[in-house]
Amino acid sequence: MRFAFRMTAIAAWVVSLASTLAVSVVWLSSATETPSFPGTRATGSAAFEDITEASGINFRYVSSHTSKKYLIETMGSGVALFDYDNDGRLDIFLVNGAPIADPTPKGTVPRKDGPSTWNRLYHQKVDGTFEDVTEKAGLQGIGYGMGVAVGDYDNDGYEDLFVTGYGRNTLYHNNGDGTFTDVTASSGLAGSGWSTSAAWVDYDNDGLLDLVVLRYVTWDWDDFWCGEHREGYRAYCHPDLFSPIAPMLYHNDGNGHFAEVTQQAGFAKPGKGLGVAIGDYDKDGRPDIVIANDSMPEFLYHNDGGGKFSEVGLSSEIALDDNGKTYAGMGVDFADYDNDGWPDLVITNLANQRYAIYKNTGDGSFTYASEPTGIAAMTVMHSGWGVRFLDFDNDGWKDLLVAQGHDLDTIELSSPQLRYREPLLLAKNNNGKGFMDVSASSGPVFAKKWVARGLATGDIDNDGRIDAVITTNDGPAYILRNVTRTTNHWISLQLTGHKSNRDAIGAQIKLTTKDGSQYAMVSTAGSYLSASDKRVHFGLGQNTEAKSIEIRWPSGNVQNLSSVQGDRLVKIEEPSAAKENN
Amino acid sequence: MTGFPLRRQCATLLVLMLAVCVAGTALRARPQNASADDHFQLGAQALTDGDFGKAIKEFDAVIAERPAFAEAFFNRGLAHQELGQMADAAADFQSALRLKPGLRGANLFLGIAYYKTNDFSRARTAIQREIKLSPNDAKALMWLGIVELGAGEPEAAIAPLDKAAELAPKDVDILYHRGRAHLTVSNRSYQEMYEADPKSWRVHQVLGQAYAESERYMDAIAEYQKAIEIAPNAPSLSEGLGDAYRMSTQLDKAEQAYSRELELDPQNLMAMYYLGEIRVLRGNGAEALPILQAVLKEKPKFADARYYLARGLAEVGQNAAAEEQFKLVIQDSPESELAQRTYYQLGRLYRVMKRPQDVERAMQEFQRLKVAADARESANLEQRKKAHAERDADQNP
Repeated sequence: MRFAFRMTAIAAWVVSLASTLAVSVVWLSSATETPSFPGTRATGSAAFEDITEASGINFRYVSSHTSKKYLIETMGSGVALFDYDNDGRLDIFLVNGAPIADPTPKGTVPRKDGPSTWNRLYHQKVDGTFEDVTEKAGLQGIGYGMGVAVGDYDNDGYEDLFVTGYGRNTLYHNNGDGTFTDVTASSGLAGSGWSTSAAWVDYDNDGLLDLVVLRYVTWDWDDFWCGEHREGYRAYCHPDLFSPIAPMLYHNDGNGHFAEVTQQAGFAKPGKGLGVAIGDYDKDGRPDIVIANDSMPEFLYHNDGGGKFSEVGLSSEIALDDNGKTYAGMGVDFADYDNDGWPDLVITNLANQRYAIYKNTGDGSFTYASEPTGIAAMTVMHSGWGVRFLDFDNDGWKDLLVAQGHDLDTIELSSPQLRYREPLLLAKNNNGKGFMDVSASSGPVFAKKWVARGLATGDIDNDGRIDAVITTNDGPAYILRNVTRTTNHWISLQLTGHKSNRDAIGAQIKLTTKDGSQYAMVSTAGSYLSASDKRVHFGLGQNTEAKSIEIRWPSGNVQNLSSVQGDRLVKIEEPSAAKENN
Repeated sequence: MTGFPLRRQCATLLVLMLAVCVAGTALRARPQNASADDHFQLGAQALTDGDFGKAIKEFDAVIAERPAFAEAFFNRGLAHQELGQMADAAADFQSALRLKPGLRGANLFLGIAYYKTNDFSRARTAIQREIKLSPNDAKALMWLGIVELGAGEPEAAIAPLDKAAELAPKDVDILYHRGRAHLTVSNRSYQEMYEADPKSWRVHQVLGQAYAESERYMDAIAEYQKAIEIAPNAPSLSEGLGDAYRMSTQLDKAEQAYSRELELDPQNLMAMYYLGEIRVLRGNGAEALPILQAVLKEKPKFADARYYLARGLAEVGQNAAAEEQFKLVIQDSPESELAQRTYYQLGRLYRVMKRPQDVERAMQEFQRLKVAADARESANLEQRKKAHAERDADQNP
C-alpha cells in the first residue's frame, strides 16, 4: 500500500532528478546582496527586520481572555513554515483560538465562530508577498487550536498538516491541488484532552512517518482563583494544580490510519508536555524524542528499537537543572551547537529559572551547560517559549533565536522586575564555546516587546539566510526577514526519501568544510507548538563549498557527496542502493 | 493611623478580659453588704455585655456603699475608658491604686487612659509601674512600646516590644507594633542619613539592599556600583554587589565582586562561600576547593558549603573524596531538600565512576525524596485549592 503512494509521488518530481550524484541544483542565490565588509571573515552587524505589513499577512491570534483566567488562554499558539504546493517558496500556516464563554461550563469544547478565529494558510507568491488561501485550502479549522506539525505522512510528495487543540486534533491531508481534506476520523488521530506540540517522526524506520502528540495537563475549565484575591490580580494558575497526562504516540499503518501505541511503546509516562523535538542523541540510528515538561522533570525517550522506548531523562541528566531541580520547560530544540557530532538540547522556561542548555557528552548523557555557555546569565530574567538553533549569520555555528514573554499578564504586579511583554532573544554562538546576547545590535525588531509564543524558522525568501515567523498570544504574527550582512557562504539541502520516509525526517547529515564538520538531522519539529522548514541549512563561513556531505538515511542507506558547491539549495534523492559513494 | 483600630480592638479585648478577671476577684472578695454585692455583680455583667453606662451606675452604687473597695473603682474606670471618658477613667484608676497600690492592671489602664489623652509622659510612668509589678506581662510591655511610639520615641519602643515578642511570639498585635517600631527607626535613620549627606555611599547601599530584597537586581547592582565608586574600600559593598550579580546569575561578575570583598575583608565567610559556590558552578572546581575547605573549617555544619565542596571535588576528578563529602551532607540531614539534590549529584558521580548499581540506588533515593516532596507540595496545593473554593463560596454565595 505504501508503495502505491510512492509511485504517484515519483512521477511528480522525477524531473528534478539530475546527475549520477542524485543531486539537483535548483537555484542559486547570493547572500551578499546587501553591502558586505571586504576583508572580514566574520559577520557584520546582525539584523532581522519585521516585514509583516509588506508581506500581506494580517493575522491575529484570538485567545479569548476571560475573567476566569482559564489557563488555555495564555498558552497559544503555533505556526508552520512549509511549502504546501511545492513551488519552492515557503508558505505559512497560523493556528488560531476560538471564542470562550465567561464562564465556560465543564465539558465544553470551544468551536470557531467565524473568520476572526479561523486558522490561516498564507501562500507565498512569486514576488515574496503572501495571499490568504485559507478558504480555498479548506483549513479554517474547527476548535480552539494550539499547535501544528508538518509531515508527508502518506509519502505522496505533499506536506500534510496536523493541528492540535483542546478537545480534538485534526489531520489535514494535502490533496496536491491547493486543497486539504480533514481525514481525522479515518486516521484515528482525533485524540483527546488538551494537546500541545506534535512531531512527525518515523520512529521505527519503516518509511512512514509516525506521530507524537503531547498533552499538557488534565484540565477542564477549572475555575480556581489564583493570585491575589482582589480585582486585577487574578492570575493564571500554576500547572502544579493540575494532574499530568501521558502523551500520545501513533504508529502509521500505511493505509491512512494510525494506531495508538502509547502504552505498548513504553511512551505512557504522564507529563505536562509543551515542547517536543527529535534527535538521535546516542547515534544508534534510531530517532529519540525529547519532551519539555512544565514544572516537572523533562523527558528523554530513548528509542530502543522494535517500537519500544525507555524514558531516560534522569539517567541521561536532562530531566533537571544542575542542582537537581525542575523548571517550567516549554520550548525545546535538539541540535549540535558545538559541532562535535553529538546533538545537544536547549529547553526554554520561565523567568528566574535560566534556559537549560544540555551538552551531549557522547556517552549517553548530557551536561547542564547553561552557566558556562552564558545562557543562564542572559535568560534569568526572561521567559522563553519557541526556540530554534539556527545559523543566522552563516558562520558555521548554530545560534539561538527565542520567542519570549511571560505567561502571567499580572506578573508585573507581583514581580515588578519582570515583564509580561518581552523582546526576542538572539544569542550568537561563539565557535561552540558559548553564546553572546546580540539582540540589541540585531535591529529594531529586537526592541519590540511581545507576548511571543510560537516560532518557526526557514529561508522564506530563499536568499540563503534563515528567516523566522513569530506568533504572539492574543496578538499578531510577525514575519522576520533575516537581512544580516555577511560575506559568509551557505548551503541548503532538501532531502527526498524513497526507501526512507519521503520527507527524510530523521536523516542525519554530516557536512565538512576546510573549517571542520557540522551535523544536523532533518526534522520539522522542535520549538513550541510550531513546525519549521524541513530543508537543512548550513552556514559555510568563508568556504564556498562543502568538501563532503555524508547522509545517513533513516532506511540505513549512507550517501556521500563531495565538493558540493555552496550558496544554493541542493536537492538530494535517497539512492536506491544500500550504500552509495560519490 | 492605620494602627489605631487595631490598638483599640486590642485594648478592648484586654479590658474585657481584665474586667471579668477583676470582677471575679472582687466577687470572691464578697463585700459585707449584700446590696453592694448585687450591684457589683450587675456592674461586672454590664461591663461584659458592653453596657458601660449601666456598669458605671452599678459601680457608683457599690462605691457609695463601700468607698474603700478598690476593685469597684477599677471596674468603673474600665467602663469610663470604654466610653471614651478618659479623665474619669484616670481618676478611678488612681483611686483604685490609692486604695490598693498593687492592684494588677490598674497602672496599665491608667497608662492607657493617659495615652489616649496624649499625655505620653504620665502614660509611660504608669505603665512602667505596671511592668515593675509584672515584669513578664507581654501586654504591658506592648503598651509601653505603643506609648513610646506615640511619644515619637521609636528607638525607646524597640526594647519593650522586642521583649514582648519574646514572651508572646505568636501575638500578632505585638508583632505588628514591633515591626512598626523597627520600621520607623530604620526609616528615620535612612532619612537622617539622606539629609546628612544625600550623596553618601550609605544611601546607595541602602537602596541597593532594598532593590535586592524586592528582586530588582539590575537596580540593586547600579546602586551598589555607585556606593563602591564613592567608597571603594568599604567592606560589605562588594558582597552586596556580588549577591545581586549572583541572584541575576551574572556569575562572572559576582565572582569578581566576591573576590574584591575578600580583599577588603578576608574573614567574610559568606563571601568565601559564594565565591566557592560560583567557581563550582562555573566549572572551576580546582579554585573553589581551598575556599570551601576554609569555610568548612570555620563552620563544619555548613551543609551547603559541603555540598559545593563535594561538587568541586567531583569536578576535579577527586571522586572518592567527593563521594565522602556528599555522604556527609546526606548524613547531617537525610530527608532534606538538600539531601534530595545531593542524591542526584551522587547519581551523576557514580555514573562517572562507572558504578551503575550505585547510580541506580542514588537515583532511587533521589526519586523517593522527590516523590515525598511532591506529595507534600500536592497536599499543600490541595489545601490551597480547598481554601480557594471556600473563599469563593463565601464571596459568591
